[in-house]
Amino acid sequence: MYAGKKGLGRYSFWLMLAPALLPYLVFKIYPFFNSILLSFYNWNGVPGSPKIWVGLSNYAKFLYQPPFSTMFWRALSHNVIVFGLLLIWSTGLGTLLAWFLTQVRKGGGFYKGIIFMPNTISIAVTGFLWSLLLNPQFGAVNALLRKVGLDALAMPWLGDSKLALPTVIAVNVWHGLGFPVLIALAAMLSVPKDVLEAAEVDGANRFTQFWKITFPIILPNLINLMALNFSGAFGLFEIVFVMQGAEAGPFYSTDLIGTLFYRTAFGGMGATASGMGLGAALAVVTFLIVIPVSLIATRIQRRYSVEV
Amino acid sequence: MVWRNPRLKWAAIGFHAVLIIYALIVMFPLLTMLLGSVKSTRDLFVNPFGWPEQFVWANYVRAWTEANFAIYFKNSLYVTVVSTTSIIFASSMAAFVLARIKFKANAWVHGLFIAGLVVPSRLAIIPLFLLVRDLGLMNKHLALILIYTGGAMPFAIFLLTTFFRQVPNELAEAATVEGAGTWTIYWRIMLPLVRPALATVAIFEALHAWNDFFFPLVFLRSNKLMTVPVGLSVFFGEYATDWSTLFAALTISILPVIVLFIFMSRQFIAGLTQGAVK
Repeated sequence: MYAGKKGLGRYSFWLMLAPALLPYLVFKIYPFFNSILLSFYNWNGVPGSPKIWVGLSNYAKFLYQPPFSTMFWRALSHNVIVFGLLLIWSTGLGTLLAWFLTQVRKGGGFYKGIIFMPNTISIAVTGFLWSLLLNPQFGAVNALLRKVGLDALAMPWLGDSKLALPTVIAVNVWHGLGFPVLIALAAMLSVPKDVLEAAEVDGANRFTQFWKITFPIILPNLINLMALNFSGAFGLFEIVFVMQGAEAGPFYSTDLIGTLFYRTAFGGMGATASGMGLGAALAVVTFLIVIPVSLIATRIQRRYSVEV
Repeated sequence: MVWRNPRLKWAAIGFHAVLIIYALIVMFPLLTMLLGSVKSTRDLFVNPFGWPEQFVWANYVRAWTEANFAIYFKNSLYVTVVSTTSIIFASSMAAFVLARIKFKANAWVHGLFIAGLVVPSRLAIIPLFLLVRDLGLMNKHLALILIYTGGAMPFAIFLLTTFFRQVPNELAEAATVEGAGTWTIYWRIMLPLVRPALATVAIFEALHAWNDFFFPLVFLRSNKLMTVPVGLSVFFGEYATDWSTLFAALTISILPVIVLFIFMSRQFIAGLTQGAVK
């Protein structure tokens, strides 16, 4: 279809593009490119104050000049741990539950609805809820553990620097698990039934059926889920902020790139770190880590898209 | 598959058992919250997850009025409705143009929108903060509405363009012969045909606006403008020891969405799974 051909009317379709294009360019694209630009300056963000070109020195601070480099590498190592936990708890457990859903004849829709339900809750609200439940003295989790005789397991979940990060991630998985379950389930349902039935006739038990037939078919979807775990780990902020504070306690044991970035941008790191340029540099480093993986994920997604 | 022998029947029971255990893990916090919201604080500390000694509805009254939840709720509703409406209009018009009108820059503009799929919005918060401040939008709902609208375009346009392209050409051609202009074709013919896709976008983006914590945290300062999730954080600071009111406030935050989910779970699931694979 062609736009009208008379005079200026030919360009009238731009009027229909404008309401999408303007907010997108101003509030999404411009800030993205401006991050890159700002990262080369030293500026406190106050209008009229000097904005000094410092080249790559903001990057140098994060990469190898303590104290910022200490915080950066610590947060990055926590992000790697989180990614590992998500691979097992989100993609792994999600795939397992999805497979269980394909094996039951009744109640599948019911379980699916329940598993997905927490996904509709705000992640911040989820954090507030669980911070009450995990309270060491009055929380329902420890009360339940004591009631069933597992007193030894009633721990200060969020107060222990070894337990805090896995606990926060477990809460995050409680919130998000419905998504990998549904993606894996949709992929499994695309496996042709007659192939599975033929294998069953040939005497393959259901585990063999899963490993030899289903798993190879759904592998691209699982790789896509893993890529989402990766970018998801770098997007985590609220759950840590709400449950452990901006300082990501105890003793920064739950500090992630997301919380470190928030402190760099909005204070909490001392006067020397309140620079907008320093925060922007951290944002650019994160872009460089996340965007390639997202691109790969989008490619895989496009090539093997699953109908949900 | 038919369970021919007892061994298989036991396996089926095992599968159900695991699924029921996980369903309980999902439900336990939500039920604890619901029951906690109608207990007295003393009852709650003695008996954290059992049935309430007696039902204390006053917790809800306190959360709704004293703790400003009536205001937070209204603010969330306003931001959600306005941003979802503007997202639907802006993205459907743009997607219609990109899917159906030939012009030189078409592929380029479409590519520009799609590229946004891999750009995480929140990482650009520093320039965004300076921009909002310089535009005088600090502490205004409009800042959130514009950010949500701009941020939603890649996914919404990506999804809607695909749907608009599937509409058979004959329909639009017939309308052109009848003398319908571009606007009429969009509004009268195309839009009604892509309603399911519009619903997907609307549910995903409405939920995102309703649940968002990050942008209100950065841009809203005054208590009377806060949306539910950030209002909840103020409330958790002020009422830290009043657990039963905290549970009532949590229930007010969570229950409306859960109830909608129960009635429209298919649309929710479609919206959220397609929305999150960005």
